[in-house]
Amino acid sequence: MPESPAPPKQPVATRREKFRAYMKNFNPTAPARDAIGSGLVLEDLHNSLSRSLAARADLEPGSQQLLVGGIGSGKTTELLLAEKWLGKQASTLPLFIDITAETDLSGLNTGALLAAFGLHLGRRFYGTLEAESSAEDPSEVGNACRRIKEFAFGRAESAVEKVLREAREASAQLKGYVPGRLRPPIPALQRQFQDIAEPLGMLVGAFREYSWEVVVILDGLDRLITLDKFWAVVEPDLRALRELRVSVLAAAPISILYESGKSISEHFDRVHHLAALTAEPGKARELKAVLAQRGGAEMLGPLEAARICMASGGVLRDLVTVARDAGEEAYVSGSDRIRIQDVGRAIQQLGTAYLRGLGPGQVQALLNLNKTGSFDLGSPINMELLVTRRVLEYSPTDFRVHPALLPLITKPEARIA
Amino acid sequence: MPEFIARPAYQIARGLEVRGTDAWFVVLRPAENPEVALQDFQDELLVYLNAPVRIIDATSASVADLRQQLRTRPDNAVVLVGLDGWNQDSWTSLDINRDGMVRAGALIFWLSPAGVLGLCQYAPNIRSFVGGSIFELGPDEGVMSEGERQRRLEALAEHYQLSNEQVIQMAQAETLPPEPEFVEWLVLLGRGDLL
Repeated sequence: MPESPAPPKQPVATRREKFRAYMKNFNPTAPARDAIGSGLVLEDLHNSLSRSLAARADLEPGSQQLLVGGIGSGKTTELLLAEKWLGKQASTLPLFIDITAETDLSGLNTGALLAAFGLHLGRRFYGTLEAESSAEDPSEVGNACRRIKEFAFGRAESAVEKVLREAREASAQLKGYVPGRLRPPIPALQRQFQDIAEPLGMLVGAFREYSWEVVVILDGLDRLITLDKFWAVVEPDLRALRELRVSVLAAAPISILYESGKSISEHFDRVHHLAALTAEPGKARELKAVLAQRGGAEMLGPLEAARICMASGGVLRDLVTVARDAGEEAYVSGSDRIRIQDVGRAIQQLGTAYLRGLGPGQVQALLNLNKTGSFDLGSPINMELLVTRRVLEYSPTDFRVHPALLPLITKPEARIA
Repeated sequence: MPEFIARPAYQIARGLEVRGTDAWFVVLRPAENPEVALQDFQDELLVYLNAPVRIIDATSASVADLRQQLRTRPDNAVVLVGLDGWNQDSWTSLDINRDGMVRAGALIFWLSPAGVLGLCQYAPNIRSFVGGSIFELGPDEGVMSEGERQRRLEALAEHYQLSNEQVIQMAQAETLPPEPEFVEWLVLLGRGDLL
């Protein structure tokens, strides 16, 4: 058997481990809760926004606030920070629910928010206040939990119930309905909501008996990027929560801020806007701090860091993505450190992804914005460019083309669908 | 129109490996012999990740089915195929349910140019997760020129301070570190049999 040489020393493990550690810190798809737990998040990046959200929810039971921002702006992180702050307050129970991770909202699933809220609340009740499980508890709270589970997951219907239900439905069809002259401004809650409101009220009341106020934090609703879908899903459920005097913090799509979205935003006590951060050279203090917090200085020189900040356009996920991708470029190409050409390739890739799928009309709209600075959100094309992040908003009047995309559309050969 | 960077399968696999968990990629598959290319790609991932790689066909799956399949064995890497024929409604539904697809194991969308277009047009939340990680599947080492092969071997030898012979000896003695570069090294030496 040939003599085996000693395993390679430092340089082997060091390079790979160094890159792996860097990639772990710059993972834009890692759960935000993990990033917070690992100390990778700057908690005061947005002027204490999370604390402002949380404090109002805590002080004003039944208040409803929206956190609005473009895709990748850091809404989940802010909501988790609000949860963390609320968790430190005496007698406040924050319930964080990523609703799209739990149920499919694409079919306009009204009642889903209440069902998820009830399930979380029931679990928390038996996890913190009572030792036994809801399945064995004969009390009113146990019964409420069972009714919530039935609402959420359905249940077998007895023969008698089936006959009664069918008779009720047939009767309703025979009777018909003649609408009145005055349409109520807020329609009455449907029967299904009445079914869940009572057990939810029972559970919320049980917490109040222990002096706990519940705050529900609903993440994921911003995936419903079109206003009609968003409102169809949230309106009846949030109205029921308001009647229960449960405070709500919810993520919402950026289109809420503009045009027809404004009428929806009026239903909320407060709408917080998470705008893109300043990315201009020399002013990107916050973005540089984000890179530093994640240990970017280990692999990035000042020039590379500045280039990443600028190309991100102030979108936090894009910042982390470009930093990560530049690291991967460097690793795959055999370099020990991230070079400016690695950053350039990562930016080019991100820009190309933004470019793909744009038609001539959309490219023209982007060129117009770049040339004139004006951006009419009454145009459906412009609204789509905003919600898909090809256009970034820095203030209600300051819109700009995503800087990773801009150089690609100003090249004539890019102006093809 | 600017194109996505082309990377051979082994480079995509190395990228996945160094990222660790929660990696989302899009691979722009070749138009010719996609089934063979998919098999080769899966083999390459198996070598580099040293872990199971599942292929999930989404051709006739509902979003709920996909969520369920992705949540089963969430540490495995998954190559998601069959999305090329999805229409706007299907992409939109998948996009709304993005968080239901979040998993520790890698998620690779295996798409044609039409599929990439669908994702970029109708699934902005998924595209945001993918970022710039969209790569055209490029030619593998089989078409690497002899000069390129030699240069890569020299770079590896210089970096690790080892000769080709030492690497072969270490592989035979099963003392080779589990670094992906050593897999590449043996393949470049034509000694994939030692893996």
